[in-house]
Amino acid sequence: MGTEEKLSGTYEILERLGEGSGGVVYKAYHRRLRQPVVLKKMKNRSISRAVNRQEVDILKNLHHSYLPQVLDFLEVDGDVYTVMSYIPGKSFAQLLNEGQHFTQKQLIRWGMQICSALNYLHNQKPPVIHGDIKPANIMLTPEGNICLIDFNIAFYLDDSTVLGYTNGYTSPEQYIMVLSSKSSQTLPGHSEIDERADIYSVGATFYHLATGQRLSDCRQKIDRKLLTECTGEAFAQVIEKATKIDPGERFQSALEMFRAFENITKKDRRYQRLLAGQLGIRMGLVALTAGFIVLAGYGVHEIRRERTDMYNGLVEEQIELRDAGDYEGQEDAFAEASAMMPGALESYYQNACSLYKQERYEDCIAFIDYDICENEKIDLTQARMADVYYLRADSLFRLGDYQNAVETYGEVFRLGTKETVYYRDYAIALAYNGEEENAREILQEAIDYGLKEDSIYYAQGEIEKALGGSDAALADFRECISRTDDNTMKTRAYLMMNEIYEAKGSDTTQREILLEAKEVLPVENQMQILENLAQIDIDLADRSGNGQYRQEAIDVLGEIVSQGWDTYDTYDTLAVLYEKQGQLDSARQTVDTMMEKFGEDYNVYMRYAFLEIDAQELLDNSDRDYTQFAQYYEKALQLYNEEMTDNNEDNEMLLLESVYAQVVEGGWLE
Amino acid sequence: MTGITYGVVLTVTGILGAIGCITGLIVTAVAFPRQRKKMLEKIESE
Repeated sequence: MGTEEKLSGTYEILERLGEGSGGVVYKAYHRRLRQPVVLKKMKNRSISRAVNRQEVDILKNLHHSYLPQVLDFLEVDGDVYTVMSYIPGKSFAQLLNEGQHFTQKQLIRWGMQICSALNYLHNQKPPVIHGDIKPANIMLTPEGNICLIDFNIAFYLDDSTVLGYTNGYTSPEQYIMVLSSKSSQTLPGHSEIDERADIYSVGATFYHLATGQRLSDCRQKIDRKLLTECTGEAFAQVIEKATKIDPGERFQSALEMFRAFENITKKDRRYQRLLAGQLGIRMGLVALTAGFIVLAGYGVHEIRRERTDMYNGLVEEQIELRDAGDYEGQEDAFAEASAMMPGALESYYQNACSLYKQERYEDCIAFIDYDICENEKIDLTQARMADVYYLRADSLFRLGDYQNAVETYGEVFRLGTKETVYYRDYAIALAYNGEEENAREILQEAIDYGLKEDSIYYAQGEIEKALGGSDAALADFRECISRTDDNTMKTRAYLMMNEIYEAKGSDTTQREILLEAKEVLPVENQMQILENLAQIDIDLADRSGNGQYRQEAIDVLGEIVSQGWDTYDTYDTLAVLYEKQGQLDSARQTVDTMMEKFGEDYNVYMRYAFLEIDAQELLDNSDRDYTQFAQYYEKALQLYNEEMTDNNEDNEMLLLESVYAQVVEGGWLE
Repeated sequence: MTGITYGVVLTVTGILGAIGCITGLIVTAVAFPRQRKKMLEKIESE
């Protein structure tokens, strides 16, 4: 029985496909599996060679989309046949012979498929090396996919198997090994074949597919220029690398070659230019973003600086308005400044100075206590707070609260200030608080820190005055006045001397001192001097009955009004003085001004009523009419009852009531 | 503090510019992959 007859039990031989490297290749029909198969004789296998069944089972378990399925092995007449699934289609060798050309897209796709199959084989344990990749061993199926057939089973099974090679596709190291196996000598070169031999073969195969030209042997290098013309630079690079003579310079794995095929289009110059352009745009946008962020940050910094400048401008405006006596304007500027920067102390400090300058000491203290010290946004440990506490301390001193003034001075120095003037006033406060020794100690400290001579004399004068040493105090104040150029200090010294003489009851000497001060001091420092002078003139007029003093008082109060220092009391006092001088018209005009400036209250109508009484008394009885007087009185009484609380009484109002009663009793009113 | 000051102009310009650039980056994150894909398809079809 012939071989074919022996095969016919399981297989129905359909046709001879040809001669493979190992022998005849049949297309057959597997009767049991009911599918077409390929039977191929393994080259030079002797039946005496043991076939490892386990290894065969491993091969039978190879499953990949681009590999034929190994179905079985047969032993017939001492020969071993492999049985594999039949792959329809044509081999690339056939297609090349038919003159087919392939596009780069197709080649890339098939290259990836081959590498995928090789990657699968090479990752088996142990790796399966194909060993004979060439166009004839790559099928193109009707679906357009490849199938890598005829991978070398014998190669896998037995180390001593004789290798084959195909010119133009076999790697140099495999070629050398084949030659070595045929020669009695061992040729120099590679001692073993690995996956990279398949890589070379894939490269050589695809070179043939791309250019239509086959390499003559493994020593021939590819025609790079031709390949580039056929497929492009990137594809040519891949083939060139795969077909390097030195396996170390090729792709080291099928996976690496797969990735290279995958990235071919991405290596195209147009794609690379596009990538570079896109990267440039993104980098530019990132740089611009950073630049704009920096710009915005700088803008915020500028806004803060502008706000600080505006704030500082408002603070300067506060100072200017205060110096000009425009206290309302100062308050407006303060409101704007504090709204702009609520945590900044300076505008608050200037507003406190304004209150202090207006001698509104209670308001100044309340402002410092509530608007500054209880303001959570203000840092109370900053150095400027020493000046704030000084204002508070001095305001308390002015109000006669020496104990609290001394305590507040403690806060001033706790902040570390070295202002000699503060030390001076602290010493004075201590003296007024009865702490003589402490006062002298602090004054000595101030002198040690460089307190000027005029301030030393002033402070000594205050201390002596507080301790009752009036003559020594007067001498010290005299020295201060003669030495100082500071008009504020000079004014204070004159006022202290005035107080000393007042305490002594020397009103004429008081008057002399005040007149001297009026001559010596500039107008802007004269307000308190004039107020005291007017008062002393009134006192002298009341004591002596000399109308000359009263007229002088009127003149002094007129100066106070002309300087803009007028208050309600200024007009009230003037009205009374005019009345006493018999200048009823002037008195009435003064009361009119008082009502115009300060609004109506019972005092205004009381003044009108008294003036009306005086005017009526100048008339003959028959000409008198007390109707207007009655109207003034009733209005005054009505407002008096509304305004006066807590059982307070105004003696002048009581007097007016008495006068009214007399008028009524006299029958002048119905 | 009212009015358009130099600092306000700088800050607004900076913020608007940054927003614009970030928007541009977002747009490129969407548009550029599409551009690359179209280019690859064009190259592959040649």
